[in-house]
Amino acid sequence: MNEFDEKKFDEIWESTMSVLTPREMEKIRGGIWHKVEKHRKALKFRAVFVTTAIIIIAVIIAIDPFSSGNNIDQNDFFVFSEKDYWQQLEKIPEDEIIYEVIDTDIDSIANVMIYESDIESAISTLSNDEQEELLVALADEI
Amino acid sequence: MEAKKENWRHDLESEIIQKAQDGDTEAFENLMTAHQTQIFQLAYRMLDNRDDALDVVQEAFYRAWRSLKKFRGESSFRLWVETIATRLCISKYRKKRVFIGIEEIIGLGSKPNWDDEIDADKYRKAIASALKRLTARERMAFVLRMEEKYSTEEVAKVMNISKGTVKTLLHRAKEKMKKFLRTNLLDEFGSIKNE
Repeated sequence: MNEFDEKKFDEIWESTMSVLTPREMEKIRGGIWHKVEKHRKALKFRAVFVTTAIIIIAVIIAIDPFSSGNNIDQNDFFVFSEKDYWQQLEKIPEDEIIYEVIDTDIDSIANVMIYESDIESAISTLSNDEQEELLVALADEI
Repeated sequence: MEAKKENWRHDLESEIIQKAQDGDTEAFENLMTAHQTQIFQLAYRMLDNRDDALDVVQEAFYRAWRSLKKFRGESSFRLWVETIATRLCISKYRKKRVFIGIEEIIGLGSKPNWDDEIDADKYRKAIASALKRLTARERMAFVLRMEEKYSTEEVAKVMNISKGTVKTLLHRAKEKMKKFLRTNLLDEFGSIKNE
């Protein structure tokens, strides 16, 4: 068996060693600092993101939109269809809705009540005599 | 005299590392300049592709920069970066080897013919082809020994494996290399048929 020429192998190995060109050195240098810069930007972005999130959470806690002081149930804010909306709305007493929409001004409430009332159907429940009496009273008022 | 020189070099490097740890980018660039060629040679032998090797060098130094504050100086800076580069190389080589395996199955690169090449190219291709026969860990151990002249203990440290495993890997790697070179570089290493 031939002896493997280790010395020859070492020589070949040494002769085939690769050397970095100045351009490649510059590429390595540039690449590293580019990555470093990217990392710094990512850290900054993360810091800004976390700060913003903290501020938003703080504002939400301060405003407390779901607090128990609100008369309308918080579930009302999470209806998904128009049908659901009206079903939810029906469950809330009328005076509460008026209070939420119009506030406490008595004239505004009265106007809304009159506007929302079905006068025709209310009159139809009266007898002929009562209707006549009502008309006479209105004529006197005018 | 040589030991004194080595101590002085070590002290100087410790000083530069300290500056780099304090955020001195120029100091870090000095460390890079001092060691990038060795790291590149290691990566190039491992991956046999200049671009891949450059990527590994970049990534290894970038990771070193990121965890520089954790570097306690228990080993040399170069050994530390080489440990990072070694892991990157092994992972990259394993991915590449899948394709090498496919090439071999379909017959590409199975019968090298370097007769018309000039010696330098012939040897480079022969070494590269022989290295392809090794597994990732065999190749890494072999390259660390040949390129860096590391002892078994140092190879074990860089690769984070036992000395016994390093010995086994080196033995297997050498046998595979010899077998391939005897068959393919007849003038230099003789034919395996003579065995």
